[in-house]
Amino acid sequence: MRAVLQSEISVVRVAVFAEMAWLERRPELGLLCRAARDDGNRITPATVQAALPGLSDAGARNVIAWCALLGLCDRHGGLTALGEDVAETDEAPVPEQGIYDLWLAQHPLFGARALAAERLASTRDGRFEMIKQLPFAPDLGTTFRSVVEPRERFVVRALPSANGQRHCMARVAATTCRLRWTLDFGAGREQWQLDGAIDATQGGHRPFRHEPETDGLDLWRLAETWGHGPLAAFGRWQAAEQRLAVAFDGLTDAEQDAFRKTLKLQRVDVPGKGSYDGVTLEGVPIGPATAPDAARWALANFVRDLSRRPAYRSRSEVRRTFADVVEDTPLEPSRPTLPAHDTLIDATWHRDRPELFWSLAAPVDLAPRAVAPEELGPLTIGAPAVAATSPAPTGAIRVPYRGDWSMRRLVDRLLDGHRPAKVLLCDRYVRGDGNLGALKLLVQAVRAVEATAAFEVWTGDEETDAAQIRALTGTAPRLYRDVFGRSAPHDRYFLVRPIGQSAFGWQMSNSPLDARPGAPGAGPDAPLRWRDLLAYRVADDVGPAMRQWLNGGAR
Amino acid sequence: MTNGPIRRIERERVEDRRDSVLPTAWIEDAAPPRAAERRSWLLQERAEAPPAPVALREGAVAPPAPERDGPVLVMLGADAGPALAELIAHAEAGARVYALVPPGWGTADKRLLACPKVLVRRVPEVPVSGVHRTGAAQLQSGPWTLRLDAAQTEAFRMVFLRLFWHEATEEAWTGGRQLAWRAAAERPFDVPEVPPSAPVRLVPPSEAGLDTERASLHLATLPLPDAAPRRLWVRAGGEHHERLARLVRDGAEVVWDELGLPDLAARDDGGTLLLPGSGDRLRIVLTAAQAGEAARLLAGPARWTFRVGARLGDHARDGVRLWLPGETAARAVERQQQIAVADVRAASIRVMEETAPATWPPPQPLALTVRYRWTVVPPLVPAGAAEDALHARWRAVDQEWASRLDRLWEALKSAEKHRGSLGRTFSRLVSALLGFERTQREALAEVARLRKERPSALGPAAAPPMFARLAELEAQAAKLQNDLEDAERKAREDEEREKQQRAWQARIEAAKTDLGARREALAAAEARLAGVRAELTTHDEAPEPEDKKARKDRAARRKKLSDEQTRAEKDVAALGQEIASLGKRIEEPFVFQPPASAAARKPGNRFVPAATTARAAPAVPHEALPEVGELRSRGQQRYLVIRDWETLAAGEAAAARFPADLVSEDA
Repeated sequence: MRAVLQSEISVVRVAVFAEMAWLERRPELGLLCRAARDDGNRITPATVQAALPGLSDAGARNVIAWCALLGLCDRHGGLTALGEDVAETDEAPVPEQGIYDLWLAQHPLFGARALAAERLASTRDGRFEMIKQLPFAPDLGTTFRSVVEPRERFVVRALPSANGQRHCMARVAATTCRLRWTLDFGAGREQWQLDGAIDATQGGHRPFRHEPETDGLDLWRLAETWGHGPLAAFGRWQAAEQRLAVAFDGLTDAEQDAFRKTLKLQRVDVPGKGSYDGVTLEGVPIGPATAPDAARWALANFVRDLSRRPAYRSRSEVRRTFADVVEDTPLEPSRPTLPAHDTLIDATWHRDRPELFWSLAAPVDLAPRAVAPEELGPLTIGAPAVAATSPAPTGAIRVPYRGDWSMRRLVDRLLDGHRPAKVLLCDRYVRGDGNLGALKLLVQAVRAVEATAAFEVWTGDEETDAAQIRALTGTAPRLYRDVFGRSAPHDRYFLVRPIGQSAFGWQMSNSPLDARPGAPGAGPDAPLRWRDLLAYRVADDVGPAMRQWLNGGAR
Repeated sequence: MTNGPIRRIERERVEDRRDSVLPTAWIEDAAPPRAAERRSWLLQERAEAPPAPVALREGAVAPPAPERDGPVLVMLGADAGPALAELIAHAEAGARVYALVPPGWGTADKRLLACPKVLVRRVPEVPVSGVHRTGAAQLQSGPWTLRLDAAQTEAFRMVFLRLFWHEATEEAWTGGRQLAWRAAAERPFDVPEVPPSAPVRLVPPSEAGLDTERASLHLATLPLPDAAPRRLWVRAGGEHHERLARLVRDGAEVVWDELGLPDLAARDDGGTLLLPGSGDRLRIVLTAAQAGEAARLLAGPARWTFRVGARLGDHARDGVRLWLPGETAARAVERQQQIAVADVRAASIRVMEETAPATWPPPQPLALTVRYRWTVVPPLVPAGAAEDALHARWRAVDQEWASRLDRLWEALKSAEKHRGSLGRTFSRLVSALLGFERTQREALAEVARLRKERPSALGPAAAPPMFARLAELEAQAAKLQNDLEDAERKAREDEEREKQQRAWQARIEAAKTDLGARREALAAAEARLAGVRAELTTHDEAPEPEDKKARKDRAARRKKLSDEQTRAEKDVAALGQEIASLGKRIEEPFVFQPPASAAARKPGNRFVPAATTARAAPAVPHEALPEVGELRSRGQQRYLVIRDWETLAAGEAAAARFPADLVSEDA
């Protein structure tokens, strides 16, 4: 979420008698302030004498008094913010008095500040009735940086006046100035900046852009404030989730996909920092307002995902796609449901996109093995595994959605009581921290059964980090193109060469590397978060390369 | 022996071949009608009405309604008509239909395109046409439909799935105006390979074989088996007869009829069916029931039977066709085959009637009788054989003979003319010419007789005397000619002499007459000369006048007199010469001058040919010409060419004389 608050700033140009100080290069003071910074943020005679050897105690005290006069320290030698600045920049204020031309601006965000200052020569042209009340005084003692000459810094030390009445001679000001305050809620950053054009003494205008400054505003507190204010017209602000719960109707496809919405607010208030009109609040996190909204939203996103990547999808992959679309999104808490296969293909949303209909219907109609009724039924995201009403097919292993199986449990089933001499994982994608973490668990689970078992990986991913896989398995992976040529498998396979037994394997509808631990550092016995995985026992009905591996060939 | 010209002789011979044995042959005969049989698994289109679909697992009869819910899987391979019709029926009923079609397949069938749920995928090759629906499947091959049992149905489904997901190249779906093909999308899963134990599976060509043991084997595309099956159905043709014969000898019955079946091996307890394909082929292991039906079908009658050692006469009936090895088509027995044998050259003209080919071309195996026809060619003069030199030599002799006789005849005739003209010119020669006439007449008669003879006809012995006689006649004619010329020359000289004497006499007389006149003229001229001379003397002696004009006249006078004197002197001189000449002529004696033309005449200029003198006899060949025919030769070989049978005997004798080959000329 991001907003840019803008406001036009009125600039006053006055000629005033003032005590000013321009920051000039004073290395000795910088040295002194740095020595003080390293000595408890205090300028003491010892500090002065250390920095300026040979100085007497009286001299040292005079120096401290001078520093105090300059505002580098207080009367007790404590280093001020200005003193710290001198320590950083070696620039120290050099006081002076006179008539100055000041450009003054005022706003709740930055107070009253002088945008620029110029020395004026005294003349006799003025007339007494030209003297006016000073509209507002700049913050005294604050170091300002000129917006005209960014290298020039100055301090308005005092506005000497009689009886506390501050007067000035108003000058014609044609300066324009705008405040832009950028609030980036997601990044937790905000900064404001002034820009515009200043009327120069020599005539004409000089554009300026002030160096950005931050205010230190608590952005999410501000968002919550707005949630009860201008955002309430759009939805319900959920402070804990930091998003706006909105109705599904009216959302664009992009908003549905991104779970973000751009809102235009007529007026917003920043407590203590002013009010701003016509604010555009970009990327407001949104989520469903109700469960029905979530269901419709989930299905809409699911359909769009299918449309964006048209491909034949097995029912298992359809379920995974739906989970991908919903999980870890604002929709998940509402537990939306993927309709049953029949409901899905009988729907009308694919009436004009027959390829979408076939992408769902054909893989079920033409599945080599009958798809289980549970798999064809509806899938509720986030719901715990439902006990299968039909047993897995003979020789098959089914890891249900959210089945909480541990990797060890899966490996035990895959090994089927054998001690593996060597196992082979054929998986198209073995990359990314999640998958590699799951691979690590898989290797650990296999070696928990047989510590000396060799573990091979064949993968179709050209960008695989071979070194990382080798570090996990002890064997460098082989690429599909080297093993299968142009006949790379689609499914995942887990092949086993047991010790003293005939080899066998499993054809899997999903990768075991798709499992994710519930918490970091989980071991092979820890329950994992699974999506559907169905493994069928195979032997001689695999392709030639895997058949060769099963028969003891290959590497 | 025959008469007339010697020509080629046409001959023929007939051979009966009923007992001939054909080593191997396919024999097509009218097959007895096939016994009607009700089949449940192997159904023939049109010939057999398909029974109501059977639920294969339970065996219960199910209504033949199109599928509405379950997917229908259809392969549209060869013979796809029934499968396509069933596809449309299921699709129109609302079923989801998945179809596999070969590359390039398309359709404009509006019924099919209007179906809402048909997904079509192209694969490189569709192995069969068939339909799979819930729990049942059937395959089409030609006119046959094979219903599959449960295991076969499931295996067929796996084959379909494997092709559908792994082999498809393009896909399209109905519901639009046309099928919009696109690249086949990636499969959603791997379909396991169909295991070797599956009753229906695709097998590579290397595994495409059938178990022939105790089986009835129907071969459509497979090669012949090595082992003999019980009964072998293999397409009749001209190939593989040796291997088929070996199978027959090993106990197989080899037959063929157009059943439209694919490769099939069937026993009572099982069998295998192998569908055609250019790559992998669909192999179906038949159940006992299916195999039993197939075995009974293959045990039925067949139109074609392969025989070894068939007697030709046993298959000579009308309507029976035989297909022999190496031939491209079957054909019936040929009642009689006409075989034209190549011309046979006779060893001699005399043996032409008995000449036959040394070898007989084999008749076509299916000829019941064979009639050979050939032509006997007489010995012919070879090409390049030219007329023998003997003919030329004799022709030269004959030509010289004839030319000399002609010249002799002309000489005698010329002499006759000469003699006639002499008689008319010189009457004084009449008596002498009578003798010449008699001699000439006898010579002409002799020449006329000789002109009837030819030396070549009389041979080398008679020719020299003939030329000797000719030489005598030529000499006689020459003498006659000379005599005539002498007589003529003498008569002409006499006549010329008389003529010259008359001229000499006339000239003397004329000179004498002219001499007197000339003498008178001379005297006158001399007188005139004397007068002029005198006048001139006078003139000269006269004194030169003084007067210029007189002198001038006197000179002119002198000139004139001088000229007259000169002219008179010339006249006197000329007349004197004439007188002297005339006197000499008068005194000239007579001298005969033979006529110059007669003296200068040479023999070559005579208009009558000079009589030939004795000439040397020509070179007469020492061989006589053949009595019949023409002698020709090529190189050292001589040929006597005769043309008629009548000259055969004489020709043989003549040919033996030279010696020469007796030949004829090709008409």
